[in-house]
Amino acid sequence: MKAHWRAGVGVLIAMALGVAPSLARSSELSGGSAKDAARVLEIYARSPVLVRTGERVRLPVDAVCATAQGDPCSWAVTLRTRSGNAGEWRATTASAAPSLEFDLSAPASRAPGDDGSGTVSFSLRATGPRGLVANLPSRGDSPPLRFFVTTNLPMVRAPSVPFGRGRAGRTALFLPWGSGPARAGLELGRESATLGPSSFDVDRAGRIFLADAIQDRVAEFDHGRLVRQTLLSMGARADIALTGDGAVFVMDQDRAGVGIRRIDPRGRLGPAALVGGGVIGQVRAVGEQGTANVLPEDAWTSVAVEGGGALTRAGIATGRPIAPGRELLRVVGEHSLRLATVAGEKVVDPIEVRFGQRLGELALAEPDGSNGYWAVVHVWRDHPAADRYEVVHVSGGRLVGTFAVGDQRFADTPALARFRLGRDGSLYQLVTSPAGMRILRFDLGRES
Amino acid sequence: MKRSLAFVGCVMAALLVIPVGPALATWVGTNCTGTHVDDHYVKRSEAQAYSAAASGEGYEWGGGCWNNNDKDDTPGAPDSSGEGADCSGLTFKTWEMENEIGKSGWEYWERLYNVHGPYTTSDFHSPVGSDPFYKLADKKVSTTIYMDAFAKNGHVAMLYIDQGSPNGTDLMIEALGDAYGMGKFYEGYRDQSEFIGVRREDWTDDCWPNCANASPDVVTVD
Repeated sequence: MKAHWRAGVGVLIAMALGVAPSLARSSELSGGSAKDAARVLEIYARSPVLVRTGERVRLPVDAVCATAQGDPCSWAVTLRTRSGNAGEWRATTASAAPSLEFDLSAPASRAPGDDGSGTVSFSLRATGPRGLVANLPSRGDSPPLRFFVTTNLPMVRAPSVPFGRGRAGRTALFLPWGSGPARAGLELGRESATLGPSSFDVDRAGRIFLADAIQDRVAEFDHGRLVRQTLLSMGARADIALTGDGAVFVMDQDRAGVGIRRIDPRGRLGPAALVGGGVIGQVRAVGEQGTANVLPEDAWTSVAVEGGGALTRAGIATGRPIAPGRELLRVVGEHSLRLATVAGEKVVDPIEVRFGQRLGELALAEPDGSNGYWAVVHVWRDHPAADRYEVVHVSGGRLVGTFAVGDQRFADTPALARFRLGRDGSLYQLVTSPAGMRILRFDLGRES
Repeated sequence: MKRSLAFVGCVMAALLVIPVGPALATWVGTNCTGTHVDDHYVKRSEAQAYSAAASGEGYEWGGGCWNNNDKDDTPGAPDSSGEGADCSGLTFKTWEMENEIGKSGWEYWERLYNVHGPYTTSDFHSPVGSDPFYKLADKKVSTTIYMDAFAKNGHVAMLYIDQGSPNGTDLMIEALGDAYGMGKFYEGYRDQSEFIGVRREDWTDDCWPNCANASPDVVTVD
């Protein structure tokens, strides 16, 4: 309707101005041609990830349908759900609506088994004009998505730490902005984001691997000195993860989708493998495999190294693989953080941490190696404006320790790339200032 | 008023100069043959679709013209009257604003019409009463709606969909920079204190003109 309306007005304006609209222009405004065919159909859903039995469970779903000209088109979505592993699949269809949500409280209530935990599996299909289809999960050979339900989800409260009070880290690496091996690339924002290093990771010896996206390199630093670099073109949101043997997985996205590459321990860059068609999330390593989180599916696709360096898909998991048969679940809300492990399809060591302050992103979530977790959440306030991070250590269903660290940002570092738990056991933070980028180290043996 | 007069001056000067000489071998001079029309009853879903089609195109500081072919036609050529918009230009065109500071109303800009608009990120970050957009009192998930924006001095990005990720990040549509063009990325802008929430005024409800028979927002699964 609007396209026709636009066409009419466009012609009238053109006539009033005494200007004959070009064919291209009138074609674009008139619509109805092949150009009007839906070109974009995307589907998005935010998994509840981990819910407590009896809670109201909502699955928000969005779809975006657009023609080549950028006009919206209609869509409908079908949700298929199954409680537990043996129940029947049920399909529910809904028309396009803003803020569409599916209430999954009933399937969730049926999910837990005798052991108190269970799953609800689901998949989504959006249909648009002329047979256009979009699916979640996006690949036909992927298992359905799922979220976990547990009867046992202990809750602890994090103490409120005043803004301005926090632990100072030690500088592990400082690079001034600029070009060259001992500098970090910076693209100053001019009506755009200010872009610097996109990610980093730290090995067992404290060596820092930096994704210096602007300088197209992954650089390795030992005590502040560059020891090696591998050149490769990366996007501003590329993420990296280090394996135990010193290989680096690099995750990036382009028009083809989200891909992953591997730099072997000798610094040689291997071929890319496509891991999904969505938006880049994060990459981590488990053993010698890489595992890539692609959004909005929020599933983790593991890749293994074949002979010759080729990467092959080695499995898809709901949670982040952290060890053979074990996955880490995490979900953050405005005032709470939930963490759990999936072992043998059961939820173990679940915990909810509630905060008095508003939370932003979950900047880090890692197992602590003894049935607990380290997590870093962004805490912020508007008046007066302030940001900081809260580091929490939970174990055995209780809060073991917590401390605050400051925030210093000049470049728009990706939200999930600011912290890493190094393989040396220390926590690291990437901060930026007008002078350069700095990686700070925090000793975790000294919790508050 | 916090107007970046110098920047606007540069943009206006560029826009005045570039179309004059079609013989100039710039991408804009060769390709930007689009037009614009008055518009009414503009919905967020229309803005979302407009931005969806723009994803994958190039970035150009002070620019505002692209061709929806899913690639940057002028890669590695900053400030060359190349393809793409910057972040405030993308927001301006997506929000169908009038090309005059403080003017209310709606104007549909074809993707191939080169216009940046008069607003910079500092304007989006510090709206004044006459602007066709305003600062949101809160940035909670429950108080923002898709196609609202988060702005700081230097960058502005639009919320592409209502829902965030389990990590607490939001899917934004933004002009990220010369090397990366316009695209969709999960970002933590909502929760950075330097960003404010900004809303275009006077959107027409997505359900219009059939709001009485609108589809339910919540569908219960048995």
